[in-house]
Amino acid sequence: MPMTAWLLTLSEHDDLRREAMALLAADPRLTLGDRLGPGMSVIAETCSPDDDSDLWLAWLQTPGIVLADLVWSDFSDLEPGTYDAPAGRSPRRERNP
Amino acid sequence: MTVSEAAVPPVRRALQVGVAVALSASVVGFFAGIRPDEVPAAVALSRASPAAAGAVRPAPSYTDLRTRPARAPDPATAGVPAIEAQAFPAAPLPLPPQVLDPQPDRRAEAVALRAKLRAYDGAPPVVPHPVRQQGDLDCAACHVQGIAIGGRQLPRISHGFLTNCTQCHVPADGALPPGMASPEQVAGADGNTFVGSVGPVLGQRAWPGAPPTIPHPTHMRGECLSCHGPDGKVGMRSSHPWRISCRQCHAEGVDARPEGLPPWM
Amino acid sequence: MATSLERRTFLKTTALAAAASAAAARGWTPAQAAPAGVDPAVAARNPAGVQWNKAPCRFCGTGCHVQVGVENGRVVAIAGDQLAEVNKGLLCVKGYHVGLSLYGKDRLTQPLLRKNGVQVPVSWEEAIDVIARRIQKNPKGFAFYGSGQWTIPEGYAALKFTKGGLGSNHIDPNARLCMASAVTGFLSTYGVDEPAGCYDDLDKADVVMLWGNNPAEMHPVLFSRLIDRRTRGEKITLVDLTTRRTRSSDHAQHVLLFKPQTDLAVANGVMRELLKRGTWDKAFVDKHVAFRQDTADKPTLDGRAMDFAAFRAALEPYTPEHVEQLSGVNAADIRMLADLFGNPKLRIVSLWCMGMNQHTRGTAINRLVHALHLLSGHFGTPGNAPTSLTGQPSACGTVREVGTLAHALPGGRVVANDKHRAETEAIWNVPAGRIPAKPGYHTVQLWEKFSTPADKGGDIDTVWVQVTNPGQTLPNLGKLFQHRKAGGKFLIVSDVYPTATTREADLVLPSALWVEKNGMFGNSERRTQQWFKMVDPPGQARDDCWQTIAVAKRLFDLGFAGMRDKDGRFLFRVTDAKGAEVPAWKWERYYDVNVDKALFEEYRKFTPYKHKHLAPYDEYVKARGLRWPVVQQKNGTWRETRWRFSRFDDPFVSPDREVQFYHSLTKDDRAQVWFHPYEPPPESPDAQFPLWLCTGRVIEHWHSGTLTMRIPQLRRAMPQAYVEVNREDAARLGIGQGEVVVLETRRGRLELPAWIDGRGRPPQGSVFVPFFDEKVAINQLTLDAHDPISKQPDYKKCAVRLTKKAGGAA
Repeated sequence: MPMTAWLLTLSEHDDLRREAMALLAADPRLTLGDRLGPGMSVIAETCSPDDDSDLWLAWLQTPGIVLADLVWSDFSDLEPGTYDAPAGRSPRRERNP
Repeated sequence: MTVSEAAVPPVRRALQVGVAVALSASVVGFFAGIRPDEVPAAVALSRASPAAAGAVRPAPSYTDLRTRPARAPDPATAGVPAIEAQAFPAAPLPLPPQVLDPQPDRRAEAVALRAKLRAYDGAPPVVPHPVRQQGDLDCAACHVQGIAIGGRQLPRISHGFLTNCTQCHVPADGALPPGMASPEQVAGADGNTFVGSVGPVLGQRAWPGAPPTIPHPTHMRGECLSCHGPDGKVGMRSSHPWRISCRQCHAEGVDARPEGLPPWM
Repeated sequence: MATSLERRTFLKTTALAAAASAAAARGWTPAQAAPAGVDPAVAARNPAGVQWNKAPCRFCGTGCHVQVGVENGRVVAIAGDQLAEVNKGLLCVKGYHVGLSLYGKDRLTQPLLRKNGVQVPVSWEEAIDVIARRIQKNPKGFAFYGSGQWTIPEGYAALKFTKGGLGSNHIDPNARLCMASAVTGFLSTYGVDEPAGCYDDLDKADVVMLWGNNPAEMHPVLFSRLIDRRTRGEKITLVDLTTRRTRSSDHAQHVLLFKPQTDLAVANGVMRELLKRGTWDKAFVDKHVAFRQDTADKPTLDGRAMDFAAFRAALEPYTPEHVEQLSGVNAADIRMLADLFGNPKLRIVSLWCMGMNQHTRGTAINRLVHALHLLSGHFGTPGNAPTSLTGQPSACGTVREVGTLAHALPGGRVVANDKHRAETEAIWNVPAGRIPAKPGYHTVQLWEKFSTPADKGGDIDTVWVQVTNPGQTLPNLGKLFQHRKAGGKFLIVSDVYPTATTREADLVLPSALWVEKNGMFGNSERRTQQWFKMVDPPGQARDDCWQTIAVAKRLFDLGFAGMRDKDGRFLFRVTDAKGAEVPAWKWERYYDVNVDKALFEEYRKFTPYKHKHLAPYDEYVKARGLRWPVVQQKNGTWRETRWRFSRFDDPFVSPDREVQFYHSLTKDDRAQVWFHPYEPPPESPDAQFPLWLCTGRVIEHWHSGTLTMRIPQLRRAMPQAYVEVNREDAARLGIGQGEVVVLETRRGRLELPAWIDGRGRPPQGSVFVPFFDEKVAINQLTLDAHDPISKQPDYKKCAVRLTKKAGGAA
């Protein structure tokens, strides 16, 4: 299971931020860290790199999350060859099946 | 209780405590109860609750939070929108035992290990590996953040970033290529009777469970995670290495101008 | 499974820590709770059981302040002093370990007198009596040899003892080997010694020129003060003008390798380019500068005037291309330097130390660097200064200011000047004519005379060495340190450890070291510093200053007239608060009164003459040093001076002048810009000795290593000397890494391991050897040729042959 650490910059609007926080807290894959200044650290444990990628895309579409920076990752559980990217997920992967 | 409370006005503190208890104990546990801005207005009104108006209940300690299950919601805050309650995991986070447990019984061992590389407590440590003799920024590659590789811990720099590392840190086994120095010349280093001051005693706790004070000077040792972070020596590690504003809770142990100091100091 | 879970939780902790530090890198931290009511300087120490006090570091001339932790009568810890302006809480590896220098197990603890060829323990009474009787027999055959490690009161006492007591000028310091050329450079340029700028310039400069200087190792605290500005986002252009790549080169944008001795050509090339382009500072030159050159026959300190046209014409041959030919520095780089010096918006500091001073043209290159700054107007404002660095803690304070030199008297006076002698005799209250007008022997002469039999003109028969190790540091040791062969000579050595010098001594006196005694030092930026005794010296070791006073008193008691003043009183009379004489010559009474303070207050009277005003002793007790001139304000406080000759800071500049060289050689408030041609060195590589030999220092060791080789951390880091060999040369000569090679010059031969691509990288055709290792006395190989004006020898260049050791491993 990949594990990633993120630094999220949250919105300055109270309502948007609260909504985002609720969303994050409801996600069982996430462990929330400290609130630091305008940001917050989050640890994500997902089933595959694609889930990570989806998570990131979802965050970018959440109005209460201004930025999502990946600061650390660990893919050491992933045995080589055990992960096959499903075809058609992204243009990059299509070029390199 | 944490030092952070001192920074919060009493009224807000009481409010905060009430809310924290009402919502979920673990909220406070993990986020240290510094979230008044996240509290909906309705909660502020709930200050009228008899429980809160009477004796303010003390905030739970970290130990409580880890060991005691979350309490049922306080009826006084029944009207609070559910999202905030949901927003925080009710159960305490699992924490790695080897880091969580500072293993105080191994502290002496850690202090001794640390002292091996230092002439006295506060001396810049010698470097227990060869050092490239040209250029300095090699050191930065490992020691700016600090890492653990193959059971070996490479501590992060304990002070602010300085460029000329070899100004203070010299290789313990010599700067010369292996085999170049004559053994007699190296052995000649053993004729010194200096006895350096030893590592600090433990910091003071105001009461059991209070954050201990810092028992050593912090000049050139202000980057606490260098020794107390996850890559620090067992026995010196913090139980909560993700908390990086150490001096929020841990005050310097010197509380007054010591007696007997000359007036010019 | 359990392992896997543990692993995940560990990973999670690491992830959290990574996120936290990423946040911290952005400054996303909750506000820090400052510890309430704690003075940060006090909080910096945790004095449970440890008493702390201040002292300047014992080692180099930077003058860092350290805090010394003492417990149960022993030094147990050292800390950088955060309140000290010089080092702002930082030290170097030597400074952090300076406390260990007291505790080498072979400390000298009793006087040793050579009897029948063997050094045997004797009492202090006997030792003092032996010296006094020897001096009484032939006072003019006695010479004092000291150093820039003498504290100010120690040096003052030795000077007064020799010049005031014995009526002799035979006193010289090892600083002659160290910064004499810097002194002559300052004197002949500004009419007064020592830098006009200070370390604050390092915080302001845009460009820093290193002239044959490696501060990353030798003045590391100053170097860090400079390059750490880059970490704060400031831009500094560092130009390393050098004969060998060093650790300082690693930080420099421009590393200009020049052939030894051709720094003169480089300086001339840059000046010519400024004149040609018209980018010299015409207004500054017009108002503040005169031109000067050597006299035709023999070089002197004062030289003779020249006009601007002649100056310009003299520089004309130094085209960038010609300079490239002479020096090996690209013509484009000469033009680049002219771009820098020709830009008035840039603030430029030049730093130098032994590279320019230990030079047979040392006075000349010092003058040329001053000239470059004056000509381009990079002078007199913060961040614009030519600043010499010193290697010893009180080379400035004691040698240069007190004047413990064969030709000097306190406060910038010289023996050759009738008025100066009269003033000195008046303050000492000794009869007129006590001090001879003829300078005594300078270092090289002194040791030559001491190594020569009396019947062959060797008229020095007794030398007293304090706080230095000439048996290792004199050049050409086989010629200059040979008194035992000469016969009838007597060498007295006061030291703290056995050294190459004590081994050859007839009388060894055990001395107190650093915080085992009171002291005062003066650093490279005119800062006078004070400390108090903190621990007792071991065994019978005693203060050098006490030793001098005790011998003076013994001479006095033996009826030696010189130790009496005009009123018949002892020359070193010290009184208590009530005016009663304290017998300071008795060791058990020495600390009844602060002898340092008494000597310093007397010395202070000499200092206003050259506007080197010092404050009363008690002001230094309160300060982390003060930079002279220190002048009393109307409100009674004492104000130090950071920039001399500039009105904005120097109280002695007229209110109507911006810059005023008030000690001008030409008495017209102008500084002298000198012309000096490039001249080849006295010895260059040839077919027989085909390589250049340069000697120098390393960061771990201080000078001859007497102290630092006894500090385990330093000795392990750098246990012995080596020869740095260029990779190409090594390949050509078939020399492998670590292989023992033979170094030979016309004067001596040594075996050393070769270090290829070591810490420093000498260019092809040159090698480098550090001089700290007494087992490898490199100065048996060096040249005793010296600068004609400063008399400082050249340790930085001579011709050497490098060969594989016969029978050594391939």
